[in-house]
Amino acid sequence: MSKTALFLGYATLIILATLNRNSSIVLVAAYAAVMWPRRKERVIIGWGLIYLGLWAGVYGLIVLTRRAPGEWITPATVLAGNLSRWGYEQSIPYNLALLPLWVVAFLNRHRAPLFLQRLLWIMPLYLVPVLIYGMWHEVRLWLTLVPLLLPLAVWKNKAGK
Amino acid sequence: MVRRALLLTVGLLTTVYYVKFGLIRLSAGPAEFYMPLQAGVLDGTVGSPFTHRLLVPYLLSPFISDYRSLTLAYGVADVIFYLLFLALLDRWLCLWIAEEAALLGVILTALILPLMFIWSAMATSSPVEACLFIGGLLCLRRLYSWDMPRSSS
Repeated sequence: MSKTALFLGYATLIILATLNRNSSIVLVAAYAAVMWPRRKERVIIGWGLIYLGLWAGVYGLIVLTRRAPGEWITPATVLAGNLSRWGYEQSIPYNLALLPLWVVAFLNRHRAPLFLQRLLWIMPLYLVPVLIYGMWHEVRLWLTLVPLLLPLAVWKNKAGK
Repeated sequence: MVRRALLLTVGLLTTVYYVKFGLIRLSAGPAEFYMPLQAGVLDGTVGSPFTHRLLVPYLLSPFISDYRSLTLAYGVADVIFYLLFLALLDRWLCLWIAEEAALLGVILTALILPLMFIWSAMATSSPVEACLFIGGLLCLRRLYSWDMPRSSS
């Protein structure tokens, strides 16, 4: 596969992901985080701007052409649910069960390759909206972070890689 | 061969768990919740954030005509994308760690999935998001290593 095809493939993924959810901005951020050491190359900067423009363009077009008749769920409703007795009775056991895995990933982060370490930079961009808009008992919200955290959690040097 | 057989077992068990924890729960009500949501996304009458999440409702709309077909379409899509996610995850992990450790990671993730089926059956945009993200990471990894000195990776 040629380099241009890979850049175009990534652009296609950003378009599809934005049609799916606005959290697709993490793909743009992942590109920026990983390519940071090569930020002085014009090709890298150029594609970065294209990706950012694609995300903003597609999401902007969706928001402008589909004027929502209000919010289905407001952050205040979500927060009230999360802080209710039912909310934390559900969310605490699920999230505590996963905690050891994330702690190991955090402790291992400096042993992992730079590529994986840089990807961790994008976590706040995903986690902060999840804390505000997400229902904390919905473990599916962690799914996107699994590819970032799992290689660190089960990290062991692979010979030759 | 053994590794593939184990991965196949993980995939089959994931499907069984989805049917046990996801689909059975769906037949008990959420389809009635999702039907107006599905229709509302297509005609733009549903509130945000759902009105901005177009991909899955449009992708599945040709297969949906009533509650039963809605449940089936979302159920099948869920299973396909969760399994695709596990397959992509295996490929991603094998880039970084030994195959045995990668298999452990996939099994660990498969253990977490039933928790998602309990609360989030038919929230197909989540596994789709995870698949597109991990697909992006695989793409990014190849782009990154292009013309890159090996010491930097």
